[in-house]
Amino acid sequence: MAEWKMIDGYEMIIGLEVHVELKTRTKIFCSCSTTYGAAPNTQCCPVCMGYPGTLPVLNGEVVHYAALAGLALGCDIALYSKQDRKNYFYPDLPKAYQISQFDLPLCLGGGLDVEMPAGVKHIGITRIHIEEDAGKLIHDERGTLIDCNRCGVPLIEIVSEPDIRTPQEAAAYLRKLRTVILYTGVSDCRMNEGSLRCDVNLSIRKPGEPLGTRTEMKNLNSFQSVQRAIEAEYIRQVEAVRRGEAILQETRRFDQATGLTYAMRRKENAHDYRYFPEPDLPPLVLTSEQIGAWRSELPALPDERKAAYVRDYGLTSYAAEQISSSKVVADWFEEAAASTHAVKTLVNLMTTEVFRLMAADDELIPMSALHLAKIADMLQEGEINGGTAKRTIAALWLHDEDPSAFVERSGLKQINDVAELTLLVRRAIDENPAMVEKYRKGKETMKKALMGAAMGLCGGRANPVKLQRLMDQALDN
Amino acid sequence: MKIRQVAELAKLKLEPAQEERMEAELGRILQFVQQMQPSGATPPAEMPCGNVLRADEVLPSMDRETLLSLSPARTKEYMAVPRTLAEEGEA
Amino acid sequence: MSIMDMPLTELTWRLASREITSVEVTRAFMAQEDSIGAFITRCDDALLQAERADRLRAEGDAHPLCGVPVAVKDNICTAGVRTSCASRMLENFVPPYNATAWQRMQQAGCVLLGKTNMDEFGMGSSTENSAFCVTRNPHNTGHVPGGSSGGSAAAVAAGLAPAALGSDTGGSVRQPAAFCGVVGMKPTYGTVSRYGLVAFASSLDTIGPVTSTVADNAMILDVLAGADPLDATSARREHLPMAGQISQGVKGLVIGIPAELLAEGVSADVRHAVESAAHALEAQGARVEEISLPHAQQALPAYYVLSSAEASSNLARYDGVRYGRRAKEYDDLDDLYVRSRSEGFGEEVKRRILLGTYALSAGYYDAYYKTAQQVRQLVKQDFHVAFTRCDALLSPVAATGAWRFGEKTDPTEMYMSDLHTVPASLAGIPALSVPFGKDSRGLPLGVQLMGRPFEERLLYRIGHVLEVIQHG
Repeated sequence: MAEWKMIDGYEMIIGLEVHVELKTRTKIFCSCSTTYGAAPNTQCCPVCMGYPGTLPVLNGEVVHYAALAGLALGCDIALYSKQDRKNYFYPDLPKAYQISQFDLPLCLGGGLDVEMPAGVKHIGITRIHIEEDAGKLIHDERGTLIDCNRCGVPLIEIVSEPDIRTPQEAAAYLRKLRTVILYTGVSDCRMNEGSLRCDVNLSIRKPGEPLGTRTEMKNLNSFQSVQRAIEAEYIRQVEAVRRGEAILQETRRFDQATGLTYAMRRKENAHDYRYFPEPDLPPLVLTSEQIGAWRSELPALPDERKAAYVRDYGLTSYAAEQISSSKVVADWFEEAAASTHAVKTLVNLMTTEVFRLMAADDELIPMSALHLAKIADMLQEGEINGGTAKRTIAALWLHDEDPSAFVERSGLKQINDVAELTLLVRRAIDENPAMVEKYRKGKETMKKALMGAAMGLCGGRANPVKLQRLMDQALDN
Repeated sequence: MKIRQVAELAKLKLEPAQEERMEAELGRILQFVQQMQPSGATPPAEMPCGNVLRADEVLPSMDRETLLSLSPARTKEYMAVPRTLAEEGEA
Repeated sequence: MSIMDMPLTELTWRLASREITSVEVTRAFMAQEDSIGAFITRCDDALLQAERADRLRAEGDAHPLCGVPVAVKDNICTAGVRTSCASRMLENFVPPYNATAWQRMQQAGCVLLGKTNMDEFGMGSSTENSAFCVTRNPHNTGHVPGGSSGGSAAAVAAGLAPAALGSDTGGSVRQPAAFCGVVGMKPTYGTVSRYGLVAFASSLDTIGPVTSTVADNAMILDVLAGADPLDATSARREHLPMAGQISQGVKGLVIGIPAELLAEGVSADVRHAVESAAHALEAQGARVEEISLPHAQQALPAYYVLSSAEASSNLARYDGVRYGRRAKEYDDLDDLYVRSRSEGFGEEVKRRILLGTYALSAGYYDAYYKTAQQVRQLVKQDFHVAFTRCDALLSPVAATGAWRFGEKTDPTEMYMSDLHTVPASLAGIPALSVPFGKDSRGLPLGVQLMGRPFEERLLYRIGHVLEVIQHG
C-alpha cells in the first residue's frame, strides 16, 4: 500500500486502544468457562449475571497473563494497583458497571518498535489495564436479545501514546502488537472472534500547532477496517476544518459498506462514568520477586530473534522479520536450524517453499521441523536435487513422514552415477535430432531443451550439475 | 448540576412535586455533608496483606432454564429488551 | 419456662439432651401470630426442615445449633425462598443460591422460620421504609422498632424467633436491637462473608446476629464467622470459637467513653444509661476514662456520602432486564430502565441513589467522595489512637430510645439518628449493642461497646457483665 500523503499539510495524530481477550480457562471474576462459541447463556452464573448479593473474586491467572503481556511490551508492572467501577447502563452489562482500572492500572509505560519503509518507528504504550468484557447483543426486528456468555471474560486494554501518524503505522503497530502477544501465549488474538478489537482516537493538526479535538471510533475488528476508518475519518476532519467547521469530541462509527464514519447518538452526560474504587476487591499488591519470576517465563521475543537470525544465520533482515513474526514459525525454524549444517539451504527452502505452503494453510505447519532439516541436508549432500526437495516438502505437507523414506519409495533419489547420466544424455540427443541440429546451427537455448529432455527421461532425478557437464561435453566436443 | 440531570444519570424519573421536594431535601443533605473538613495529613489507607485471588479452575455454570425463568422477558434462549440501536453501546 | 422464652443456650442444651425436638420448637414458634409485622415471608416448610434436623440429630454428631429455628433479614439470600429486600423491585425474586452466612447456618442444621422486614435495601433507621408492611416495636406498638433490621430485632424481642440475622451498614443491627431490648452485634468488617448479602454499601456492609442474650449472640457469630473464598473482602484469618469463653469479667480492663458521642443531642435517659453502665463496669473492676475521637462528628456526613455513592452503583443493576421488576409498559430501552426503576424503588432509596450519583459525578467527586474517604481514614486513626489506651469503648447506641411512628419525617433528621453507630462502621471495628436501662416512657435502651478489629470476644465479655448486672 502506498505511503500516506498529507492533505493541505494536516498531519493526523492517532492513538489506539486495543482490547485483547486473555485465554484463561475461567472468567475474570467467577468460575464460568470462557470457551468460545458455546450455546447462548450457558456460561453464566449468579456472579457474572450480577445477581443481588453476589461478589467478584479476581482470577489470579488474569493478573499473571496481563503482567506477561505488559512485560513483553516493555511496561513496568505496578507493585500496587487497584480496580475501579465504571458506571453506565446498557443491556450487555449485568451489574450496570464494568469493573476496570482507572487511575492505578497494572502496567505502565512501554512501547513497540515497528518496521516502516522509512525506518524503525517507536510507538509508546501509555498503560495496560485489566477489565471484564460485556455480553453479546443480537438485534432482530422484534427486539434485542442478550447472551451473557461473554460477560466477565477477561480483557486487557492496551492504550498507546498518540505517536501514530499514518494508517500504515497504525496497521504495523497492530500487527506487531498481535505478534508480541501471540509470543507470550496469553491470547489467541483472533480478530474474527473478537479476541482482539481496536478503538482509534484521531485528531488532525498542522505540524507544530496544538492538538486538534479528537474523535473516537470503537470496536474495529480487522486490520483493514482500522486503516480504512483512519483514512475516512482523516479526510472527514480535514474537509470539516476546510469548511470552517469545528470538530466535536464524539464517538463515531465506521461503516464498512460506505467506508465513511458516522456520529453516534449519545445523551449529554452519558460519558459521566462516575469511576470509583471497587469496594468488593482489595487492591492488588505484587512483589518484585513475583514480577521477576514472570519475566523469566517469557520466551525470546520477535525483535531479539530477528537480530539473532541475521547475526547467526546470515539471514536478510526481511527473511528474519518474516520468520520471527510468528512464534510458532520461529520455534519451528529454530528446531530445524539446530539439526542441520545446511542452514543457508534450509533458509532458502523456508522462505520459498514453506512460506508458500503456509500462506495457503493459515500459518499452520503440518510437517516436522526435523524433516525439513533432513531435506536441506539431502539437498546439500546431492542426494536429491532442488526439484525433488520441493516435491518432497509438498508431499510431507500433506502426509508427514521421513523424507528419505518418501524419496526412496517414490524413486526420487538423485542420479549421480556418471555412466547412468551419460546414458541419459545419449538418449536425449538420439531422440531429438532436430534440437541437436538447431543447436549446432547456433541456437543456444536448445541445450536447455535437451537438458530438460534428459531430466524428463529420469523423472527429474538427475544431478543437474553433473548432467550439465556431461551434456556440455556431448554437444560441444 | 440540576437534580433532573442527576436523576437521568441514575435512570430515575421524579414526579414534579417529588422533584421539588427532593431537590430541597438533597440541598439540605448536601449542606450537612459539607461539614466534612478533614484537617491535617490524612493517614494513607492501610496496605492489604496478600492478594485474594481465585484459581483458574472451571466450575459448572448455572442452569439456563433457571437463568431465563428469572428474567422478566425472554425470547427462546435469550433475555430480551426492546430493540436498541447498536450505536449506544460501550466497552 | 416456655420455649419462646428460652435463650439459645438453654434451647440447644435441651435439644442436645433430647428433652425437646426441633419439630416441637419450630412448631411453637410457627404457631405464634406475627401481630407486630416482623416477617415479610414465613416459611411453610419450616416443620419439614425441623424434621430433617431431628433426623440429623438422631444420626449423632450434630452441630449444637442443629434444629434451632431462626429468622433471617430479607436482604440475605436464601435459596428457594423469596428475598425481596423489602423492595417492590425484588418483590418476586427467589434467589437460586444461598448467602454464605445462611449457608453456614443451614449446614449447622438451623431451621429457617422466615424472612424479616426491613427498610428497603437497608436504607433507613425505623423500618418504615419497607415497601410491604409496618413493623411495630413489641414493647410499645406505637413506636418504631428501629432499623433497618427492625423485623429481626422485633421478632427476637417478641418471641417470634429465638435468634435472627440482621445486617449492619451504619447501625442497622445495633440501633433496632437497642430499641427492642435485644442484643445485636456488628462484627469486624470481613469477619462474616458478605456473599449473598444484597449490597447496600459494600465497604461498610456486615451481617450480624440479633439474640436475646450475649451468650446466644456469640453462639451464632461462631457459626457465621470465617474466611469465604466467595468474598474477597472476608478476613483471611482463623476464627476462634467464643461461645462459653465470655464470662471472665472486666477486671483490669480500660474502657473509654468518647466525649464526642455523649455531647449535646443525647437524651438524659440515654446519658444516664451510659453513665450507669460505666459505674457498673467500674464496680466490677474496670477502669473507665473519658477519651476523644476528634473526627467522630464528621463521621456521619462521610458515612452518608460513601454509603450513598456505593449504593448508587450497587443498585444500578436493578434495571428490569435480567431479574426483578420490569415496568408493564415502556416505549424503548431507556423508558424500560427509567420506569422499572422509578416504580420499583421507594422514595428513600431514590434519595440515596440521587445523593450518591451526585457525589460521584464529574466535578463533584473530589469535594464529596474523596473528602469522605479522607474523613474515614481520620476516623479509623482516631480509634487506633483510642485503642492504644483503652481495651474497649462505651457509648450510646442512639441519642434516644425508640421514637413514635411519624415522629421523624425529615430525612436529614432521620440521618442524624445514626450519629453514634456510624463511626464504628467507617472504622470497620466490631460494635455490640447491649440492652441497658429504660427511657422515661419505659422503652428499652441499649449501650454500645466498640473494640479493636477482631476482638468481638472482648465485647461479649463486657456485654455479659452488663447483662448480669441488669438481670442479676
